[in-house]
Amino acid sequence: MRVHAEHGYFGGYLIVNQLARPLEFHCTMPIKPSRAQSLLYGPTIDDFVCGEQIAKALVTKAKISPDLVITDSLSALAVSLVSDVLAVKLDAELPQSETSEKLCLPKSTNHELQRFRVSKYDFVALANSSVTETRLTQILDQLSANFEITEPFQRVTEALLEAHPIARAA
Amino acid sequence: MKPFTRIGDHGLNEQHAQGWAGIEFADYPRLAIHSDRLPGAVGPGTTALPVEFYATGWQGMLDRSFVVDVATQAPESLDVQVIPIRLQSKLPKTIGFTFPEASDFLPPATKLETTADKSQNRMDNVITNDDADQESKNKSKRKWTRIKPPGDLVKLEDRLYFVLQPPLESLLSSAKLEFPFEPFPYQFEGIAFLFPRELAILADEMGLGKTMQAITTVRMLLLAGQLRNVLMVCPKPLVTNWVREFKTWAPEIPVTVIEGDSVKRNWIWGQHTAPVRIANYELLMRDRAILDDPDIHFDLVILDEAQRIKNRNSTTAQIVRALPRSRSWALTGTPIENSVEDLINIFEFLQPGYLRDDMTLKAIGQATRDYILRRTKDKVLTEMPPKMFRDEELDLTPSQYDSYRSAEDDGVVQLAGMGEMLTIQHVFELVLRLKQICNFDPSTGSSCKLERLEADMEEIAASGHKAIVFSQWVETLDRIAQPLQRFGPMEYHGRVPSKKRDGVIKQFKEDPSKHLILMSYGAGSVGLNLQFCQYVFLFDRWWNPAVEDQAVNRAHRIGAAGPVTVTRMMAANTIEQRIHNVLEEKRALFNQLFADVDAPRNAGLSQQEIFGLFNLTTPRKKAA
Repeated sequence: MRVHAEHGYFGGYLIVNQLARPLEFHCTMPIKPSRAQSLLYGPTIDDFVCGEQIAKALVTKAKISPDLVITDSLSALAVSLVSDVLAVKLDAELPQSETSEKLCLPKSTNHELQRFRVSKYDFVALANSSVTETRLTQILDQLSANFEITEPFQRVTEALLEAHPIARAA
Repeated sequence: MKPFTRIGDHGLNEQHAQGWAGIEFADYPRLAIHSDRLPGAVGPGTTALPVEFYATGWQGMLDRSFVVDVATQAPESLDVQVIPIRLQSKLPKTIGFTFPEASDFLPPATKLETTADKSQNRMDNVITNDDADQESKNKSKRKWTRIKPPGDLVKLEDRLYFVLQPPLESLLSSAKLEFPFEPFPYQFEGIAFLFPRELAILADEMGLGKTMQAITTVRMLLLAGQLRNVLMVCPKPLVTNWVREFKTWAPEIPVTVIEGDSVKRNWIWGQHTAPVRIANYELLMRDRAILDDPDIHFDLVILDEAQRIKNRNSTTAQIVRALPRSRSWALTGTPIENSVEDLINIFEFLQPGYLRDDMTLKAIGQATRDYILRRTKDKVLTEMPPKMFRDEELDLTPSQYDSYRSAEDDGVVQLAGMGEMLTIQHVFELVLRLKQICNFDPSTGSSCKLERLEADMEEIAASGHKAIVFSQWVETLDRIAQPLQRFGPMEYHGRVPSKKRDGVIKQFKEDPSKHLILMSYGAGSVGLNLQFCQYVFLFDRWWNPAVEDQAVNRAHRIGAAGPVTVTRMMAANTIEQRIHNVLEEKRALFNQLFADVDAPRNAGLSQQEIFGLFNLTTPRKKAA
């Protein structure tokens, strides 16, 4: 998920197999919340737009149902409130291929979160989500040994900037 | 509305009470009330208000204490209006696509919907099912090399296809492609550069492994099913080198060398299923008629030492440009040997007409940026052993000096007397004659260079090292070999049959008694790996520093055993020194002007400069 100061929010969704090979990719057009939405959702607007709107649209659009959705944005976790996917946020410093003053990660209000540490990775999920450490471990154990979970985020970011070159110019 | 409090004086009429409460003192100038409390805070029966009286003598009631009543009034109720706000309920629009591999993960009903676009087979077969658990999960973090879409790829879907691929390291490791040794990061970048491109020039400096990068990319593309038949064109002496490199870097790929009599060659050209075929430039000229066959088509044609087609009108360039193909790659360490025109002519093979002669250097630089990858050792191999140059200015032996002076003086007089008949060939002849004298005196055979070489070889051999000696003349190499027999000189030049050359290199490498190999620039300056040599002698100088660089880089390349010492021999105060000075001046000038462009720094001598070596002016051409 990214938010651009002028063009609004947009997100990308890459489904990969256990070898990190791409299976499906979707991204949204940039959207801006209406004035009414901004007033009503107040500080939770990012959670609404990123989780309930963008993430839900991406998850709904994809043909493949992934075992786990890993996001780089806390605000996208709200997708688990409006869909059945297991969503966790990778709690790590990600290689941001391109950011600027105008292009950044959306913010999130402080949800009640639960934290997990599986393998060498730290994850957080919404407190009321159905993610468990056991389930998370089962899924991640299927990944190839050289699958670096932080890596595909760079691909998604690059793809987003490729699809929305105006954001790259920011 | 806020409730208000009324304060009144019990016994006073309403007007008085209002006067107190409203504090309209103008009506009662003799009564002053000071309060630091809010009126509402005053309760009934309290006299908290300090009151000061001024006796007037007539109102006894003023002695009575106040009674304060407090009353609260409710505000009037308002009608609340409800305005409905319609919140956006539609989800954002998305764009996306499904990769071919997704079909394994889709439910049966949706499998049919997966479009079989042109990228279907691109990478499918590169990866087999993973059993890469052999690798430790604790593998340390490293820099990933990404495949970036080329600039001329327009369709977003095609661009995203490359952008969304895993890093090259990940692809290679899970595809179980083994390498004799781990490629350098810049080599991964070279592979990532070549992989998505249909038109490319890999112009790395000599010794950085262009061969390995090209072979590995071909290997990946063959495995991915993007290529089926590749034609590799290289100079004849390098054919065996390419075969050897393919065996090293892609042992599973069958390689066919196009050779033999015309019947055999005809048959090999017709083998459209052969994945990799290697031909040499000279052979293409002989088989020109065969290549006109409309059934012949190559998915990829790679030109090694692509500077061979720098002359646009040469037969070789014309034949190469006519090869029917889908992808065109050129490999060269010197994309510009003499002028920018060299590069323009290489581009005629890639994309005819893309570069024009009238384009400025800056425009050419911008137009070619996405097609050329050029790295130098200084930039990418910071840990490589240094290369040290020694310019040995040697005084001619007395007999050499006499011969030289006589030849030059007579020659210049002769040239000057030719007037308009003078051509560059005449000047060349004199230069070559003088350079030969600088090597060996024709009458006595004495040589200041040989004396120095002999002395240096004593030390090199004693320390167990090996050296390469380059000359432009085979006769010179023969004359060097005789007095240096004790160092076990090997010979590698045009007179050594191609079939024996590999054996020469092998023996030189493995036999500890062989400390010296004598090479001609023509045969030994390209494609050979002699990184076990730490000493290079340029017995005489080539016209073009780029060729000298090629020669030196036989030793100074990846895997070099240690620092490489290059001795450039020059006879002092002779034509050799003058040529050297001109070339150095040009190099310095170009370095200053084109530091970023890396273009004509390797330029050789122009016709005018060659005439200038003897203070001759270029003869004017007669008007037609």
